[in-house]
Amino acid sequence: MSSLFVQSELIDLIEKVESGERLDLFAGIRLMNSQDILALGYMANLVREQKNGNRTYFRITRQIKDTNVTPIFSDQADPSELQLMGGLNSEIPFESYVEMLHQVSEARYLEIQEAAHRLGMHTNAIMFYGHAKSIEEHIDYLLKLRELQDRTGGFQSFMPLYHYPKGTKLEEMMGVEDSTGFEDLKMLAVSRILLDNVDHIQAFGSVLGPKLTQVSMTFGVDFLDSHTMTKRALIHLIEKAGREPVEQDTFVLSESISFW
Amino acid sequence: MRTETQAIIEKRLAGERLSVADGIRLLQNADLLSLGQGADLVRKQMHPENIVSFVIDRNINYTNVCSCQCKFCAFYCKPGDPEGYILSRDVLHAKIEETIQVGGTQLLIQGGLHPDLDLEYFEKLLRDIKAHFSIHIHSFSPPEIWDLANKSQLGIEEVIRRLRDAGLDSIPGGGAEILDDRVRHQISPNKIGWQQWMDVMTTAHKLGMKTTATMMFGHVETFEERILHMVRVREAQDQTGGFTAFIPWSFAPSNTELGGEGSTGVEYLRTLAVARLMLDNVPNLQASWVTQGAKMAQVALRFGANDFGSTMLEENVVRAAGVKTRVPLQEIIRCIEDAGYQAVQRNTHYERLKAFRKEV
Ligand code: SF4
Repeated sequence: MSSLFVQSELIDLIEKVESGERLDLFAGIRLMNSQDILALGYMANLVREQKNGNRTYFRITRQIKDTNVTPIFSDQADPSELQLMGGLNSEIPFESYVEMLHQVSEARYLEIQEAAHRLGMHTNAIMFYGHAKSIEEHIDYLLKLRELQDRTGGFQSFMPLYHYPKGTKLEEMMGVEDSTGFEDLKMLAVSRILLDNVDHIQAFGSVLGPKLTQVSMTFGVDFLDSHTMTKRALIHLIEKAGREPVEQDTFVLSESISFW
Repeated sequence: MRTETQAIIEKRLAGERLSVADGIRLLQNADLLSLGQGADLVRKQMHPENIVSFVIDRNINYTNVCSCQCKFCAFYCKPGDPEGYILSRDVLHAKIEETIQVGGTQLLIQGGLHPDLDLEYFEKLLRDIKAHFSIHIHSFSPPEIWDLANKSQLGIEEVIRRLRDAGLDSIPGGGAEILDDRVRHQISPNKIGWQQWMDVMTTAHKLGMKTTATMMFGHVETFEERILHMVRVREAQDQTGGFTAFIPWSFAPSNTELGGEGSTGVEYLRTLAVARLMLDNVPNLQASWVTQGAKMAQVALRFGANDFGSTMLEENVVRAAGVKTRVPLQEIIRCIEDAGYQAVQRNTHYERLKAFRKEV
């Protein structure tokens, strides 16, 4: 272990993560309550590099428009549970996606995911975070995802999404309603540490902004969507973080419908 | 496993001073988390209280006319340009009045180098402010002081003395960019050299005034030049002890002649952390929400920063370069508290004025 972290209040958990031990609810709550984000980053980065080495996968999201995924996102369609397997892409207004997801409970969401996995589909899980839920509820949900993944192995990636107050337009926000940098990095790092059986952790770049998105690659993240960035800018960001950019083929991924 | 860069960080934690070569190695090779952890541990040594401070102030740009034409600057107009302005006394005083009303304690009055404004103009301006308001004047960076010295055919010591006698309390560290003349020649060929910048600061220190030092990085400078900048500040500080804070920020390229990619978030945190490790004799390190945004500035509190800088009621220069961040006071307090610190308003001398709590 790095000698620089020996004094961390999370030293016992660092040792567990280093020896590959799974963390429980109680440990997860401690992680979320700690302000030692560098220790969280240290643990998350260990898991990240074990799973994905130095690679950061990225996808140019705009292309999704041309695939068969788009129709289920059309504005006229009633929100249906099928849509939830699709997830987010740059063609849907952020608010309507959030609204859609809020129409099912988390328990129902997990059932839908499991059903999809049983049909042989690969899906991508998301979780809302923010002040509407307690820390314990966040961790409990992550552990439920981990159990489900133990049973089905169907999740390819996980993305925590900040829960904005209803009607928030991202462009108009001036900070006050936003998550903080600590919250975003903690949620990503803790997800990476706890979800030891999910391959990829994805950051939602439009919420984090390019600077924090780049930093998040040291806090567990190994998957990015381009959103509003150009491919060149995204590759620059990844390389300047010392990571190796690997482009994912949008078409192949979208065949499983569920990969956002 | 203990890497070479970890050994350098541990050397600093044991109280040893880092060399130029150490600094370069850290910028080049150290991983982001080790740098952050090292800087955070040093910050805890230097500031064991769990406090992050900020100052309520206003940045007032008295003119945007500037004869210097720096290539990284998106703010200035050439003399004679119809877009050029000089703030009237009424507007200036109204801005000061507003600043005091929101609890502000400091004015950062800075401008371009306007060919028609001389030392007497600023002496009058300072006396007029001090006659009407009780507020700390932290104003006129070294290029402006040199410009006044040249226009009035006086030495900088005489200029600083006269400005001080008229009401100037301290000098901001602007115009430092990178304290190396190869870099300055490329990005701001008409600006004072690094030694002239430092002469203003050490002269002010000897006259009993405090100053800050900034660094604008992420353009044409090498890692070595970035470290040299820090070491030059450190050496001057050994002599005078007059620097209260170091304030690094990254170059914002849009609308500038210099252009380019600009520096990334990771680069900012790395540079900030290395500054905390190198500058063992400068007490305070500011996070720059103006160039990095609130989220990154909060994260910077784990990479060596112990101060959130100023509330900046107005920041024309950065806004002209396309950075549109505005972080109100409540957001600064929320960021500080959410990171686990107590938020405290300070004055220019880093004396604590008032503890703040987030309004719920
Ligand atoms: S940075 Fe300052 S000195 Fe240089 S052009 Fe802009 S206003 Fe003038």
